[in-house]
Amino acid sequence: MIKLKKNAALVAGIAVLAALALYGLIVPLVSQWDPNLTVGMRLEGPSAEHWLGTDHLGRDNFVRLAIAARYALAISFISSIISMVLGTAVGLLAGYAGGRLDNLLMRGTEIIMAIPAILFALVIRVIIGPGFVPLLIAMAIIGAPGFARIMRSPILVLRDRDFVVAAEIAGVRKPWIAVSHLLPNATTPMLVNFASTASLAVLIESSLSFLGQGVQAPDASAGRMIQESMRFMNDDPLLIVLPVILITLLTVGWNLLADGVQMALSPKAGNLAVPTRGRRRKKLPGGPTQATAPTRPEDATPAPPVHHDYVGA
Amino acid sequence: MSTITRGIGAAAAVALLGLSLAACASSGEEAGSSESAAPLAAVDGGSLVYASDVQPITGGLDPYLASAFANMNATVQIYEPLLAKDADGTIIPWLAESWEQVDDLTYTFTLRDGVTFSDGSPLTVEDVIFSIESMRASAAGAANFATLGEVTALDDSTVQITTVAPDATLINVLAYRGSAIVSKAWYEAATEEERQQTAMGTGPFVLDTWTDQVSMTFTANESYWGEAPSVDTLEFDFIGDENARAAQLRQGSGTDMAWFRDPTQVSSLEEEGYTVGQNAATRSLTMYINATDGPLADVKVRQAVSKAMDRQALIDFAMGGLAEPSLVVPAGDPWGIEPDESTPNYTHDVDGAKALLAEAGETSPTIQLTYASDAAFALDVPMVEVLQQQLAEAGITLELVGKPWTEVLQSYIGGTWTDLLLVPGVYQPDPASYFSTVLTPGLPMATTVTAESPEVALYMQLRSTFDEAERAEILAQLETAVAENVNVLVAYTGPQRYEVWGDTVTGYEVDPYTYREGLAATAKTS
Repeated sequence: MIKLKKNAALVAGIAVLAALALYGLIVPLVSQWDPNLTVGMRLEGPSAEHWLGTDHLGRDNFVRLAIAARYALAISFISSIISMVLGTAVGLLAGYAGGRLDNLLMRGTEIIMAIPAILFALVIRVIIGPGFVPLLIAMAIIGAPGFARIMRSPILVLRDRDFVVAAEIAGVRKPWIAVSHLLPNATTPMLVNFASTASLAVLIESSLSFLGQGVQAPDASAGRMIQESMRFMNDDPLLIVLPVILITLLTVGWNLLADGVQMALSPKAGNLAVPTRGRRRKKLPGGPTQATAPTRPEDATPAPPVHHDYVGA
Repeated sequence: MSTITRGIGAAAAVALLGLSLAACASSGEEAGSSESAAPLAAVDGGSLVYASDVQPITGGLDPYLASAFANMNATVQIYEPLLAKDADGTIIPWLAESWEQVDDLTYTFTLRDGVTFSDGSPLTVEDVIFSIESMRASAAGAANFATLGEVTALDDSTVQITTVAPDATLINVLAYRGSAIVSKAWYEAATEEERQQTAMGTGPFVLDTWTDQVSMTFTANESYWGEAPSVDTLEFDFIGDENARAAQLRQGSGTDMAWFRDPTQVSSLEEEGYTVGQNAATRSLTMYINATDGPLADVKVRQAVSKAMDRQALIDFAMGGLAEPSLVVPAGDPWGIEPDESTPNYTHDVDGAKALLAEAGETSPTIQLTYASDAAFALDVPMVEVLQQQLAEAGITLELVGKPWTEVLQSYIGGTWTDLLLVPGVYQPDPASYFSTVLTPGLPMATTVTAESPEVALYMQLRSTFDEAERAEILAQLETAVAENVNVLVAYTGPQRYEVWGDTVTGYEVDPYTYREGLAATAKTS
């Protein structure tokens, strides 16, 4: 169990993201205003009817901002999940198989990482087409290489450890060794990277929407709202300030979560009340268990700096 | 007839799109002047700096390769046509001091004496013949010269042009600023790269330097045949960001003029005391219809869509009121006709739209509208968002599909879009040119007509009628017929750019096509 009292970053991150998730989910359901319909005059200031005023088409800003929060959270969360699954599979395969396959997969990830993220996303969007799903796919492909590299790094060390060798001698099938013996020992950096990838996904989604290639009209997105409001920033600066605050909260929220997870899962920090290895031992089938191996997360290669995995983001 | 017509239409489609690409390629805004109690006196010489949003794109300065708006407003400073149009659209002499229509198929042009190119060589009939033949051979110009027969020299100063069929558009085309006359010797001697990056014409300015994506500078043509420019040098600074350009103008650090697309910024600048040019509205937000299948194959559904549109509300919400309702010929074109209550299907009538849908058996159709979602087209997006709401009131679901402009362009040329496709239009030299793509049976984008359609007959009549009064009458009938059958939907029309300047310049007059022709007559005041 994680000691939350000692982990302010984790608490703050969860709180910010949970608050935004509630805002994005509940407000559009309970509000009397349709986020895509003209419900007032153009560029109205905040009032009892429209708490954050209206935009250039007379749409309610409070509800549209909630939709923008919903989109940003959904896209960042789902695309990071897909990135993690893809990246983990590739990293595990590359690290454990080694040799030519490792070379091939890692050069592939390097190629993707060498292309600026926004440019890469634009190209994918042009190829796949517009829409929510293509946007998710584009973001997932961008994020996957970071996970792959982070997964491969500890696997390269772990694959030669005694408990893995012992399992191989005992005849345990390699896929099972990879999933049940190697994967659990490389999860900490992956979880940290998940949150920071989600943070960057927020920025990329906003950037794409700003460029007209992300969330499409008439749906609201922070990037789109900024792009639409630039024309009115002299007369109605609130229109730009609101989506900027939303983006800031989202990225700060995800980054706090990343820091918090890192702290929480680091035994050195003393935040883990119960080691996970004890429980896992009982579930494992035949062959040596992790308990027999002196492997600890901190023994593995340190996680690479996850905040810089988006080249050119 | 059909082959010529198809050729005209096909090439016109390409030309029109080439133009609209740059017309919409970017946006710009700027700021500018100080309030002054009285106009300042003009002074000779000096450097005039004009902040622009985009430099010439594909084709550069080669008048036969480049027909985009971004290219045209640079080449008009250097190259000139045989004829020109005044602010009212009346054709006036230019490089040709006179012209005559001998019969329905023959024209003669007498060249002006004393015209020289900027290298000092005189303008000759060979240059004119070469230029017109080059225009005919070019992709952009082929549409305009589809009926051209022979171009011959009658003597050292007279050129005769014949057509293979009566074509009233030809004289307007020759008065188009894009119909540039070049020096045959220079053009043939130059490499393709030189033609695009340098220029040599008879116009009031001579290109001095062109620094890619930074600026383009011109000097006054000392041997210009007309009134020499007031300023010594002209500089176009390329600043893509609207706010940066606005700041540049407001700083008063050398930028005299600027242009941009956003009417909201124009209003702010006007309030600050800057002069805003009354540029003619020629940028129509045109929605092309694919009626090969789907609900829009039924004319009643098309009429219902048109009736469900509240065009004034579109203008008020999407353009802050700074645009005009328009028929196919843009409101700002001298030939443009203002729609009124008698215009079929133009008056906002939700009940009428519902009744038409019921008659068509399509009470709640779903229609797709594809539009360019690039940031450069951001000013068009509010229109489609409001339109979606308006159509919903009549029970029509409008699905918005945003795509990169390049894909929109490909869909248009290939006729592969579904239901509706938004393609902003630009100024055309002749009123008939605006109809060519949608009323030329056989073209991919002409899906609402057949060879027997009355609109097609009227269109052909418009092309072949010379008398202006008759043309105007035919055009009115054609506009009514197109509005009745909804061959195309026009949301509204606005200027290509809004030109803004402060009190550091005087004498500038906007031209109907926003090509900045007036810069030659503009003087500095300080």
